Amino acid sequence: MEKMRVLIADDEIEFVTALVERLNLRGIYAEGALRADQAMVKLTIKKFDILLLDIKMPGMGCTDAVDRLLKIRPEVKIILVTGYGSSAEGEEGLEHGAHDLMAKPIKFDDLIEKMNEHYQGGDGKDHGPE
Amino acid sequence: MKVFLKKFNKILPGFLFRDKISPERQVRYKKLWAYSSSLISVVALVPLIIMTVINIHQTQDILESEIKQPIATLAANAKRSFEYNFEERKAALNFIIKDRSFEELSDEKTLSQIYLTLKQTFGGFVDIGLIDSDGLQKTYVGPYDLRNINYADQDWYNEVKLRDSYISDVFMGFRGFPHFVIAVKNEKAGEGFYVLRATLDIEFINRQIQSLDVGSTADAFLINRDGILQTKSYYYGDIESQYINDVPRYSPRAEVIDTPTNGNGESFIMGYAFIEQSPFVFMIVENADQLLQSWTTLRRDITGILVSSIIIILVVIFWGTTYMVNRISDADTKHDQMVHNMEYTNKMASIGRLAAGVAHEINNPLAIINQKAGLFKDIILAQDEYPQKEKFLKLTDSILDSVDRCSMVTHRFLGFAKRMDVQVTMINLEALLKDVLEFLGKEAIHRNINVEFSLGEDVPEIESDKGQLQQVFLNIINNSFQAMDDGGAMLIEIKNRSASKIEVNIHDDGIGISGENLSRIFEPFFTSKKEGTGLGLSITYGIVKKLGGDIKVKSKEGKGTSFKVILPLKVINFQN
Repeated sequence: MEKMRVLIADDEIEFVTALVERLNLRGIYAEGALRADQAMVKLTIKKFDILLLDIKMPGMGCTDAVDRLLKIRPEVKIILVTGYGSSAEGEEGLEHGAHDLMAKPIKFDDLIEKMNEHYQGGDGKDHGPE
Repeated sequence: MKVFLKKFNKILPGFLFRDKISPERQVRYKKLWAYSSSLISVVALVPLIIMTVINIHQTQDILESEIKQPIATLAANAKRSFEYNFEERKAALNFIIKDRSFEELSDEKTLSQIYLTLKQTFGGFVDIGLIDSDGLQKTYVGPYDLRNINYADQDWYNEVKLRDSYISDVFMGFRGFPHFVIAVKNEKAGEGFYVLRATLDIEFINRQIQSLDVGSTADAFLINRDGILQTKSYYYGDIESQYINDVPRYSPRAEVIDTPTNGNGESFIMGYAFIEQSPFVFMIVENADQLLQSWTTLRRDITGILVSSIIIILVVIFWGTTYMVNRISDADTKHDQMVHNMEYTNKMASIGRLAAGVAHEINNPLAIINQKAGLFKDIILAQDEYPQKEKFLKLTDSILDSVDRCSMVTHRFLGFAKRMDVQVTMINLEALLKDVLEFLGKEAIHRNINVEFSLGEDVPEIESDKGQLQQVFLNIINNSFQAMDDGGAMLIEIKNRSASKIEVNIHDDGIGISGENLSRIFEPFFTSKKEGTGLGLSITYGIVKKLGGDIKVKSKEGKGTSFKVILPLKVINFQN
């Protein structure tokens, strides 16, 4: 099986770096983006299976970001992350095509489980050349 | 009795008895009450009283003139009639004395003839005598022997000498019955004068008074100008008694006056007329109390109506004012309550916002701590040899546990009465609703509310959170029950909406919800109930939304309300 590729879009640099390192330690390819536009650029030039997206990204609203990111790469599985427990924005993000919603702080094991679930759920799709 | 008391309660100044009202307000309400009731009373009662007093006076004037007019007419008629009678007799004597010479009249036979003729034609003549210029009665015809009596010293003789004619007061004299004298004088130049003197019985005067037909309550009589009774009076006594009141002022016309009393405290209305060329005054006296009896009754009735009107008006004014002040007091209380509620709502919303804000701000660093500690643990685990490996692993686990505890706290804040984790089981909606009804069952039975189920075909079990759905339907049904009258009917419909959705409709025939309230019904802290927190339906809404469903409400005031809960067959689940 191919290596799972994850893009983490969050404005908290410490959160992003730690998470990237941990995922890498587990053999998952992970990159971080601190801004929504940065995430869009990375998503355009590289292929990712999973996008971990903070609903409160500077520079863009949640639903807007979901719409635009899915437009760039429709097959990517977006897992929304929120610091607000349940929130209207999270619900809207789900309606706009995000696949899941998780509340901060995320338990790492739960995250891995979710990622695997969605990665395997989207299996069989052509991920394009690496 | 209870209903009466309840109604009566509305009139009571409730604003005085409510403990919740501050003393300053009570003083204000009291002032308001006193001020408006007295102002309205004055405005309403003063014109009424003035009108009634004017009315009483006018009616009294009219009635008195109606009573006095006939008396005046009667007195005027009597005056004319008496004057005519006296004049007639005086004229007859004048004719005789001028027609016959002294010599002729000195003849007793001639005088007898004249006496008889007078008695037959006029009546009332008792005797007649001829008196010469020395005052000596020369000839006399009558029942007494009065010839040669000298009248020279008597007042009447001097009077007739001066004035040519004379009518005396009534007197008893030696004749022993009431009578009066008419005397006339004849004087021829150079021959001296002589006087013809006739005595008249007052019987013809009495007959004349009787013929006036004054009625049973009236007393008609004559007095002279010194107030001595000339005929018998019913109220004032016999002939020659003194009339106890003052002789009325002279007037050429008949007059009517109020005369205070007959000595017994009764009041009278009196008509009088001075009879010209005589010492007599005709008087007619009527008992005013009897005449004014109808007036007294009328005045009592008017006064009675006035007093009862005043009482009714005052009761209405006091009731109205009390009602108004009670309403103002109610409105003030309600307003206070509203302000209080609003403050409470704002406070709760602020607390909610603050809690959510704090939780969010803490969640982010918490997430960093979580990942950093996790990374630390990963690194240690990845190394085969690490100094004090076990100890560091324990330490990082302890950090991660603490992060878990923190996140539980922050999520409780964020949830604010919502549970974060959805516990999904397979649910038979009918069974679930019956469980809910059983929970409320006693109320439905007690209030005789009829609940009917309508189950659509092939309704599948759904995958959802049982506890939360129970909460949803409990809130809705409980709300409906509160809006319903005893003996109302409820219909619960469960049917397929689409391939992936089921709808549950709950209809009631309660009081319904107004359009304005309907648009706000799911807002947190919005309530139309006194006891409500305004959270029930907003929590319900939140749960249904979280379970991936939807909730709609339709209502018509007075007709009832329908809640429609749409649930997906499967919850799109998320959890921390």
